[in-house]
Amino acid sequence: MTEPAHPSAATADPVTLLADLCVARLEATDRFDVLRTLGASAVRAGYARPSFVDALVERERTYPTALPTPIPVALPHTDPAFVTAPGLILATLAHPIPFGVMGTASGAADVPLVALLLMHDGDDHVDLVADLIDLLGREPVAASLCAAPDRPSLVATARTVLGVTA
Amino acid sequence: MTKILVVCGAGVATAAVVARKLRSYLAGEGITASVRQGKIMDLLSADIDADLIISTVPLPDDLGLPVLDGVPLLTGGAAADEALSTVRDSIARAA
Repeated sequence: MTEPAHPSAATADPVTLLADLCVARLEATDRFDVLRTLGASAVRAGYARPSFVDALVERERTYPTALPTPIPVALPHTDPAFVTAPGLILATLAHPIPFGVMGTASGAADVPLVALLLMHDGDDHVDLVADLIDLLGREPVAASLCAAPDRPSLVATARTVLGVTA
Repeated sequence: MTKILVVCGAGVATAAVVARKLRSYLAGEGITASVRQGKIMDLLSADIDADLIISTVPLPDDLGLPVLDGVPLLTGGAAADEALSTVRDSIARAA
C-alpha cells in the first residue's frame, strides 16, 4: 500500500503531540514501568483520569500493542472512558525493552520507541491514528525519532517526520 | 453481502484503522461487503453477525468463523497487500 509521505499534513486537524510529556532515552525496568511513567505524567497533566494508568497496564498485559515493524513500535492505549483530552506522547527508550507483539498471545519484540495514544471516542481520530501508525511503521521515520538525543530534538523531529503539531 | 467484523481490544483504535483500510481497498476493487468494527467482547455474544472476522488481538480457536490476522493491515507494506488479497479470496469464497 502506498500512502503519501505526510498524510496527516493534508488533514485539517493534526495529532497534538504533548511535547512536555515526551521523553527521550527513558530509563525503565520493563514495559509496565514505561507505561506507568508515561501514564502517570498524562494523569498529572490533566489528560487522563487517575484510573488510566492501571487500565493502560492491564490492557497491555491482555492485548499487547507492539507492531512487528522493522523498528518495533509499541502503541499503548486504553478505553476512551479513561481519557479526558486527546493527544500523543512519544518516548524513546534508553535500551530497547520487550513488549508483546500485537495480535499474538506470546510473541515479543524489543521496542525502542513508544507512542502512547490518548484517544477520545468517536470516529474523528481514526484517520489521524491510521496515518500515525503508517508513518511510525516506516524504518527511516522510527530511526530518526530514536536518534533524538533529548526531548527538544525528539519533539522537533516528530513535527517534521510525523506532521504532528506541538 | 459478506459481513466482515474487525475487532480489537477497545474497538476504537486498531480495529477502526484496519476497517478504514479495508473499506478503502474493497471500494477500489469494486467489492461490496459490509465492514463493521467492534471489540473483542462482541464475540462473546451467542450469535455473531459476521461471515469473517479480522482481529488485531488473539482470539479463541472455537469461534466457528474464519479469522484473519489484522496486524499486517496496520503495519503496511507487502504483508498488508498479502493480507488484503487473503481477505478478497475469503470474500469470494463466502459469496
